[in-house]
Amino acid sequence: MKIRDAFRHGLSLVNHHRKMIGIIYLVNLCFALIVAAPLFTLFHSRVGSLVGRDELLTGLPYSWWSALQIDARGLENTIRPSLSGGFGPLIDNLELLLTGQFQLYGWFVFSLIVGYLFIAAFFNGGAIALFADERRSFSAGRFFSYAGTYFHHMAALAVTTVALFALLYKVINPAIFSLLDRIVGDSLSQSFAWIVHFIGYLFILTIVFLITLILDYAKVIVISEKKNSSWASIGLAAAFIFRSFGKTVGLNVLLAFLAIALVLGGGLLMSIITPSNLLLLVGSFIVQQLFIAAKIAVRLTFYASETALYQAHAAARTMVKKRKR
Amino acid sequence: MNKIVSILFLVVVLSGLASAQGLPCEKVASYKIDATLDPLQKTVAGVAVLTWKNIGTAPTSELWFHLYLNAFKNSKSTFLTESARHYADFLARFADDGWGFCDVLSMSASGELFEADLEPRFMRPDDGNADDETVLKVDLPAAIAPGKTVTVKIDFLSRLPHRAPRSGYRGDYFFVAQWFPKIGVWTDNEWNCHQYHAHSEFFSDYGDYDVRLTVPSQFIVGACGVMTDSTANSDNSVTVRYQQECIHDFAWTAYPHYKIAIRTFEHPELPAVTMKLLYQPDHKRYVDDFFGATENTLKYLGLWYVPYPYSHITIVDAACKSGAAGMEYPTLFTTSVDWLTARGSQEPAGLTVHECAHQFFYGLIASNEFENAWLDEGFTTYATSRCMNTAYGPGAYHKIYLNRDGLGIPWTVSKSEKDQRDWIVENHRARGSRDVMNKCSWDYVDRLAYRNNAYEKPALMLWTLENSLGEAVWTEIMHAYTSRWSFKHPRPQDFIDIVNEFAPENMDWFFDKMLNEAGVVDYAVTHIESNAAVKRKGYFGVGDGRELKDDDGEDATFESQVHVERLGDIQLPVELLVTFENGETAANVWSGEEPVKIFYFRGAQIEKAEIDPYHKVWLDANPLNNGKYRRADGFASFRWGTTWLFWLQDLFELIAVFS
Repeated sequence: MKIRDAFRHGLSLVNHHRKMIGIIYLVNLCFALIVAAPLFTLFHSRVGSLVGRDELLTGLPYSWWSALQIDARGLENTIRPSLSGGFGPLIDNLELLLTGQFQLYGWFVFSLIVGYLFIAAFFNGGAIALFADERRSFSAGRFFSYAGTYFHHMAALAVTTVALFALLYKVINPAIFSLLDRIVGDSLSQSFAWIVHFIGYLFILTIVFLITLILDYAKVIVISEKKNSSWASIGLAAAFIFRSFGKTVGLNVLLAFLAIALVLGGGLLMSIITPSNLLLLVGSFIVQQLFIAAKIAVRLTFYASETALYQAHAAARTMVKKRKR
Repeated sequence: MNKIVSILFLVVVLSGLASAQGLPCEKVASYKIDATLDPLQKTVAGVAVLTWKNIGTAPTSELWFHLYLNAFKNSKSTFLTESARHYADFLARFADDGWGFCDVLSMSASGELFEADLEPRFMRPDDGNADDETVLKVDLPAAIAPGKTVTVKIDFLSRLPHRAPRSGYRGDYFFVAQWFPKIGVWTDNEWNCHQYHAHSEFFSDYGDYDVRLTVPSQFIVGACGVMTDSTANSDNSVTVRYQQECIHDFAWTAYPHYKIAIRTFEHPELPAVTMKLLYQPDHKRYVDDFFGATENTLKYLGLWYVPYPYSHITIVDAACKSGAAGMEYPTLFTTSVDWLTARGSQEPAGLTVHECAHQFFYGLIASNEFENAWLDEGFTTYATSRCMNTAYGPGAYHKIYLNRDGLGIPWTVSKSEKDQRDWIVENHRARGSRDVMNKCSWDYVDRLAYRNNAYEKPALMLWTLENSLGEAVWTEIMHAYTSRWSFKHPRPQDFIDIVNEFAPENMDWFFDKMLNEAGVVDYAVTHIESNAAVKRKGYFGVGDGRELKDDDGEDATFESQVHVERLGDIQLPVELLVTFENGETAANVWSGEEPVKIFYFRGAQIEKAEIDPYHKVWLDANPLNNGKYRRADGFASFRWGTTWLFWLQDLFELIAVFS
């Protein structure tokens, strides 16, 4: 199967099971609302009668934000000027992928992230199993049934991923940058230092890419092959990627471009809309929520395309084996 | 190419030098120095000939000198002891023999009545630290009477420290400041010559400087004053000569990779100034910004205060992490910029304007930075924000992603603009309660207290004064202060006297609070309510005129109250503006003496109340609580609630990558 075919097949699979996007989106929204609702109330008590509250509709006046820091409590500390731009929230989050500073927003947000990690793992099992299933019609019952069936595998793989990323952020990342700092040494050229550090981050990004690639295929394999061992599936995934390196990497690069295009398009759209009145405020909220749904769809497209590619290769291998016999 | 540019510069500045002769300073300490840089040993060997004039009213038989570089001689100097307390790992930069020092090899003096070798000995006037060698005293064989001069010849060897603050080297980059034995100031018939501290700058007298610097020929040199000669030597070195009258310090820099650009500042109401920029090779894109910021400073401060009196200025874009960036010297200042900056971040303009503004509040008005740091840093911070607001407007909030030591990917959050004064208020708010302005720099409890009382609080005090007194009076005050005290050493009282001369009332009470009280100003509107007015019911009048009323025919009116509170320690009078729902307004003045006051109103319902509505009191540490609507609405909170919700949802989806 060619990369292009796997991608198309992945899109088609996601389209067939698009109700899944709605379910995951609703869970995402509800989980976020658990903390957003109290923050909203707290925020209202601060800015509801503020002289200058109208300025907060179009941006985040620096003076206001810096004054908020005086007695900001808990989640209020995560409000920052970069949230006000269209791209700000997205880039803030993307930066975390390269730095691993997930505790930056406090331990409460960190614990929410960990909670969502397992929710996402739960849904991954359902989604990949549906994509691997020959039946094209979506059934919520089957989705949840599969999710439950494979949760232990998905959770184990999620924990493995977290462990690998912890190793990356706490050991490999400091070691790489310590080495790069030595290369930069006493150089007085800022451009040289910048380029060296940029190469360091490219290296980190490559490792992030490879870890997610291997673990994604491990999820696909543990479900498609009905393996009992999640750990064994990681080895099989690595072997599969090694054998089909060009296709697996090529497919994920293509999917990564799709994700980047979504971030750029979404960021641009959100930058254009200044929610200065109720209509624009509601419009801005709808665009934000559509973006989240689209992001979920792209993530599912990763799994669907990877499943399609893997199954095509597995089928071809079986065919070859049969012929040899 | 750089050499051609240097020669052109020489021609331009020599013509400028001729026109700049005769500056009105009292020449107290004039130096002729011959010095040679050894870039391998990191040393500068020199001979200085000082001509010093006693302008006091009493004779003196001793001379005091600063040996600032001895601050970096060992870890027990006063400077490094104090620095190690305030900055973690500060001493690490001196590992691998990065220490610096200034040795006086010999010293001799000749006056009208004597000629003698001098025996220097170290003094510790501030803290008695026996390991500190930053102040040196010599006894003369005879006293120097008022009006008389003495000539002192000093052989010295200075070693430059590695990446030390202000002066030192990094790689083949050298910034050489505070490098020669510098005489103290004989004032009020005693020597004012403090040790070098972590939180203090400098104080010295005006004089003429004639300095010859010999460096390897590949080095490009920039220095205070004007280059009047350049001679190639047979040993592959070059000797450059810099001269300048009426300055009170001399610094220079040498680096093989500097790029040079020269432009002329011109304005119909101000004298022309030749600007020479020495910039880093990878900062070419910022050349216009460096010049633009310098031009704006010379223009606005020249028009607002006094014209820049010298014919030239040198702008040095210091090497990164050299420790030299962001410092002022007479006719020269250092600035810096990151290789990449965010659009609208106003870099490098902010730092460049600040350091260039020091040419006025330090270079020209040479206050005692040891004892009255706010007179230079406070005025400069104020003038910087005024100039930046006028020339550039508000800057954009920006963020550097993947930031490592300031290098990363800059990103502008365009919807969050900030006034130059906002960050001053922000810093003041955080540090305002620490210590008082009226204090010697090194006596502050910590770095934050020093910064607040030298930079932020005085700058906000000056903004508050300007707004309170009005632009016309303020213009007279600042013009009088800068013109009367140019080339002199003003004390705080000298500025206060001028304010009192022009202000409609005596402002001693204001300065007493500002200079001698810690704490912040913070007023708040804490409560607003409007209730239906109580109608006239019951008996009114006496005797036969007594009437029982049950009046419901009166126009519908409301009785309202506004609660204001003084949350800060410092009390200043403020205005209260109340806006009613029928569009009418009511203005009041509150002395701020009581911690809480309730203002009562009768009429329409209140829409909003604002304390200090025109934002005159920039000293108010939290302007956010200065105004309040009676009725809340939910738009702003909904907008930010949904934005925050979106950020969290996106973060969840990002984390799903790990699932």
